[in-house]
Amino acid sequence: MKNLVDIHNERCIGCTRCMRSCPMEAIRIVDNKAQLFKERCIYCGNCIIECHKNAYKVYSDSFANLSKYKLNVAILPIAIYGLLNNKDDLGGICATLKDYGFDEVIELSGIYAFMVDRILDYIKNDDKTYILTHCPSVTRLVTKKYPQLLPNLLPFNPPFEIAGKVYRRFFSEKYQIPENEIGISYISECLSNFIVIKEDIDNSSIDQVFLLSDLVRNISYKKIEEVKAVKKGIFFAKIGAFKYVSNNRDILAVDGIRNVDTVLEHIDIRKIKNVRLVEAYSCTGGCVGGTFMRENPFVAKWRVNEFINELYDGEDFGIAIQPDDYYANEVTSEEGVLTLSNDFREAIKKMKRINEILTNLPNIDCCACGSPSCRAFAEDVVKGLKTIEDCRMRKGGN
Amino acid sequence: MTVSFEFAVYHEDYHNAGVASSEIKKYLTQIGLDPQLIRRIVICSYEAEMNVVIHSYGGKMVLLIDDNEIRLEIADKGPGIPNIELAMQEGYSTAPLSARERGFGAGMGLPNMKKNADVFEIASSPQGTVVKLAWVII
Ligand SMILES: Nc1ncnc2c1ncn2[C@@H]1O[C@H](COP(=O)(O)OP(=O)(O)OP(=O)(O)O)[C@@H](O)[C@H]1O
Ligand code: SF4
Ligand code: SF4
Ligand SMILES: [Mg+2]
Repeated sequence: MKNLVDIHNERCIGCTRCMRSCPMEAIRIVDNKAQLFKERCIYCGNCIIECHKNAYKVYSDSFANLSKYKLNVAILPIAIYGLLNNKDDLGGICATLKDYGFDEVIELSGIYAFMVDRILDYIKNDDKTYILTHCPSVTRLVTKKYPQLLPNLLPFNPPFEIAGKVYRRFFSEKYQIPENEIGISYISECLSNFIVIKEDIDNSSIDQVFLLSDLVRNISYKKIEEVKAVKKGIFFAKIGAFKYVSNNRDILAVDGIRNVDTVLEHIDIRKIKNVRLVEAYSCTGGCVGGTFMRENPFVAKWRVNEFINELYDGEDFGIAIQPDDYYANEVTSEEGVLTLSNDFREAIKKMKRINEILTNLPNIDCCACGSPSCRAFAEDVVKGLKTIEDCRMRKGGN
Repeated sequence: MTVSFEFAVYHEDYHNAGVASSEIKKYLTQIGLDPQLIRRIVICSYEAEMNVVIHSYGGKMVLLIDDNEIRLEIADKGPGIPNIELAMQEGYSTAPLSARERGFGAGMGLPNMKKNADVFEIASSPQGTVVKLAWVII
């Protein structure tokens, strides 16, 4: 499969910003250019946000593909509410999408609102600390770094997956078109959602993904269309929604992938107890901080609040959702991506070698070698990715 | 073959408290230890690290990894535990207000270490407390 994310070598200046922002140490600078090591990546998008040279290229789908389907449905991300001033703006976005060739445009607040009670019911089953699965980067962080917390993940699909299933059925019945002749497109606010869909496109309810940033550039706010939205669900554009709408004190809300990492670590060693649900999002502010939002997350949060104030409480969703739509396939552990070797003895040997190399390094984490820390550099030397000469600050060297 | 790591721990340094345990977790993950075993070790290292921060004048932790076992030795510079038997009881705590405000002081740290380690030894004098923990790798 072709890479979903690439680095434009002619744009990258090897400045190390992206590498230092990566929570998984998944990036190195090799020959002055950034290189991404996919197996460690959790799609948090920090690298793309940090790059000031616009060197990251994300391969989204082409609008030309829409012609393959009889009916095209666009799903707007919940974060869209961070870009809107009022309901007319939402109508404008729908109108713009229809100009692109979509027949129906839907948004996700109804699905988010529906899931609140399902989740609250589910976490009543036992006294585990559950982890919300709305953000696929958080799920990835668990599978790669906290495999022992897999049982703590809620067993539910992220809302866009649920929407894909629900609306395919709904429009198939409404227009009497076979389900496979309906194309469902997701307009993604973040790298995370984009990649999980594309990576597993055969099992996803979504057929294609476009980037919100590509689309918002061309929005006309002229035409007005009526779009239904459920107030309770719109809160999910930002962090803390679950806690707010359920008025539940046992919910811990955390945003920003490094903060999420710390909280998971605390849960793992049971340093945090008495928390029933961790509402965790990789991006600052929740989905409004998504990679492709192109709006400051704090401004976006403020807009969401303004938008919500315009709505009445009672707006109803009114489309049937089945357990099959929201129960997810079991998530598999990716244990091992962080280990030095599959063989225990070999790993210890390597670790000893790393420690030895480290004693000859300055330990100032300057990153000039193209590794995110002196320790990471020593690991890279042992893995054969770098040679000791790549350290420009080596004691007695250069 | 043995690999060792040493971490300094300072009195009342709440800002960095837990950093040593985080690193320990990272290294144990890198050698591919079973996640459930890692959890038990890190629970202990965290409790031990916090005891040094809260109750002692400071000290160090040493992690030793070899083919057959993981060892963790925590030694501090005093003032020691006058009555170890009492300190080992669940719920016994002399944690000061500054620690209680941060959620410590349930008197569960030492009992938890004992429960989660395969080998648990503790010795104390006014010159310092030494806790030795070990886990067998099968
Ligand atoms: N390193 C140490 N130096 C001096 N006293 C200690 C040390 N470790 C433990 N103690 C004493 O033993 C008591 C019990 O320790 P334990 O770790 O079981 O509970 P705690 O630290 O008080 O509370 P918790 O660990 O639940 O937050 C402490 O309150 C303290 O009086
Ligand atoms: S998306 Fe996140 S995890 Fe992946 S390379 Fe970029 S910063 Fe690292
Ligand atoms: S942030 Fe990364 S990709 Fe962008 S220019 Fe710097 S090294 Fe290259
Ligand atoms: Mg304690």
